[in-house]
Amino acid sequence: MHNTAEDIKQVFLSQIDQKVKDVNGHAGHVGLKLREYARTSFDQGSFPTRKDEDWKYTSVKAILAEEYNGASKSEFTCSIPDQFEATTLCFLNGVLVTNDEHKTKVANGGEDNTAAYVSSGSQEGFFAGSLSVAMANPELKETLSSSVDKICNTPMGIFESMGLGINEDPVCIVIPDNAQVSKPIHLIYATDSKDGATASHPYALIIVGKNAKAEIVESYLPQADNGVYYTNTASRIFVGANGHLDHYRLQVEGKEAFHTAQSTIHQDRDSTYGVYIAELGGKLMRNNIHVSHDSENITSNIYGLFVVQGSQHMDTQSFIDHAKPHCLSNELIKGVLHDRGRGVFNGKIIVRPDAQKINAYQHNAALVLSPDAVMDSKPQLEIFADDVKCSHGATIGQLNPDALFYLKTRGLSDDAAKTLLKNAFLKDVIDHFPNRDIALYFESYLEKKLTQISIKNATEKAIS
Amino acid sequence: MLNIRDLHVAVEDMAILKGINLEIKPGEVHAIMGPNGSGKSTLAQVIAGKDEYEVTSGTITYKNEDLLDLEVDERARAGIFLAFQYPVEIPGVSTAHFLKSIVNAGREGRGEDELSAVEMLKLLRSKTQMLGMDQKFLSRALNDGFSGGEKKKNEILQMAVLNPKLAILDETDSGLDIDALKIVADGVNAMRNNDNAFIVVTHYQRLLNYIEPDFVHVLYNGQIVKSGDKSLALKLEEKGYDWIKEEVASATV
Ligand SMILES: Nc1ncnc2c1ncn2[C@@H]1O[C@H](COP(=O)(O)OP(=O)(O)OP(=O)(O)O)[C@@H](O)[C@H]1O
Ligand SMILES: [Mg+2]
Repeated sequence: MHNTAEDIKQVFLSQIDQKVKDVNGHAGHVGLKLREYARTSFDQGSFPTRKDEDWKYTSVKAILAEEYNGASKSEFTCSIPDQFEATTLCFLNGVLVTNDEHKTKVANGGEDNTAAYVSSGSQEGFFAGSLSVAMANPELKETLSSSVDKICNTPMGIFESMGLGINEDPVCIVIPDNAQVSKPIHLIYATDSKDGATASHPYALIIVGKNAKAEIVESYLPQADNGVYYTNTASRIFVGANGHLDHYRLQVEGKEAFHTAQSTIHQDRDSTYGVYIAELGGKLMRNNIHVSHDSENITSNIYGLFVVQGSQHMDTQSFIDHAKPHCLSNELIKGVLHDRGRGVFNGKIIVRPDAQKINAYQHNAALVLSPDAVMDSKPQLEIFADDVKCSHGATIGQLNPDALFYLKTRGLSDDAAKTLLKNAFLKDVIDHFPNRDIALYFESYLEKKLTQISIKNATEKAIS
Repeated sequence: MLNIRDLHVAVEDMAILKGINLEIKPGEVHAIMGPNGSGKSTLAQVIAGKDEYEVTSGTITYKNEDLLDLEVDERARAGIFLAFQYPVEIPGVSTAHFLKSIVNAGREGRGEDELSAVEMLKLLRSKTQMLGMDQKFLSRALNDGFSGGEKKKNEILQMAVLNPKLAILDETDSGLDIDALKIVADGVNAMRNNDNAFIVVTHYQRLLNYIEPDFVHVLYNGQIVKSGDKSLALKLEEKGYDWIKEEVASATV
């Protein structure tokens, strides 16, 4: 049994040490450098408590209290969506699935691209596969080393360093300079925890080259009969000069799941990065997004929605660091809270003295539909430059009673009318998704969740 | 069909309707006129089921059932429709999606199957055409940024697809130009039959040239103070409400 935070840390540290030893043998020094940096960062860090300002509303005690010994990797379905065509990589318990048994399942309706490398000479060329395979490729070596150097020169938080330290082999996506990847690259993550609590640590290194354009979708999908499990995911994203990455994140983890996510985005000049998020599943979710504008004329878009029911807890943290002039950031996070659900939004924007003529917009809006649901919203804007356009705000409200009445006078039941209005509230976020087909994919999961809530409410009403 | 007996309604302890009596039979059209603030919209909203208004005494029966016992949506599915004086703007809900949902909710209430996509399209197309409305209208968000006239037409479109038994039109003609007015009136007249009934709330006799009422009532200060046939509307148009107010004043002295 481990009790203290220090004991728990030692358990994870010994897992990292084991991995460092394994890697030392075969994967070359770049992978080792990353893992050793992760080990050092993890060793120097400590798990947050609610005394830490940024963790005031979210306790990680429950995550750390579990022992993650489950190792089952048997049953697995990789649900490939029919709304859009993609290059798909499936992960089970954080590990890229490569064996034949799983391949056939993956092949059902989709394709297995554990290493979908096409020569960088072609317009469509890109690499999507494991980091160890990528590093063995001489064409990718230089790009990877310079990104790894950058990662090892920036501070790494406790969860990211844990994930990078323990992960078997991070996934790596490289879009070469000038490549325009037409199909989205879809990373589907599933966890099997039937044989006991499982922790998985998906780690992604995403590099979009100069003038290159790509779409990446991450889906965290539920599996049937899942018990307690923990997904600790992190990505490092590099978007080269004038590059463009649209990054989608659909989180529909199982009911008993813990989920922590960290994305760190490094953008070069004239680049665009957009992240489009739906947080629907899990018991406790924390998402950290860190965008730094260290060059001019960068655009970053963050559009996210979440829905909580029961005692779900969802915490979104974003930090946008405007350090250079002529940049733009847009952020809109919307949530709908039911039952005893809890939502947290902590959005920080810093506009540094050099960041003249930037525009930064941030808004957080929540519908709190139950007296026991709580939303804590903390938009923070710190401006040290004088010639900028910035706005931020938070609104917390209920459904408009006049709209509800209007809809019901047309014969819609109370639940149907509410579902329609909630959908309308959140659609505002989905309307910003640049890819219509991916938006439909997200909408299908959103609708499923809102319908479940509506049926649950109707049944409860019928009983009482 | 609808029977209102001695209806008293208050909002926040302020009496608004003070003893309304009104009986409406299938096939009839009743016009309700009256000065601003006399309680016309309140009466319409109470029939539709707005719970902000408290019925302090009196009864409303609809098809021999206690209407006040039904939820708002149950009333709608039982065939009551209110065209709002001020339709509510609902951003984010597409008009087409909304119309499909309400048609299917009504069908489900009657134990009928949902309309197929093709049948639904046909229905929406024929009704928008009948009302001289652009198809583009359907892809816009419900009433969001609609002009006054567009909102009113949209109310009539909803009425047309739902085909109610009792339709209450609360000042649907206000703000319409004469062409739009004719189209709206044609829409109503096309629906009229021996099974359904209309309550038409209006300030303007002009509408009643196109939708001929069987009865005209004057609502004043929370009561129906005068009823007659369509000639009453002409008289009101010509002479205003002062003579009625005087009649009421002298009757209470
Ligand atoms: N929700 C409310 N709260 C307070 N007062 C109200 C409310 N609704 C109506 N009233 C008051 O009740 C009275 C009747 O209003 P109502 O809207 O029914 O009048 P109306 O006859 O429809 O007027 P108009 O011709 O201007 O549409 C008015 O004095 C109005 O201010
Ligand atoms: Mg009125």
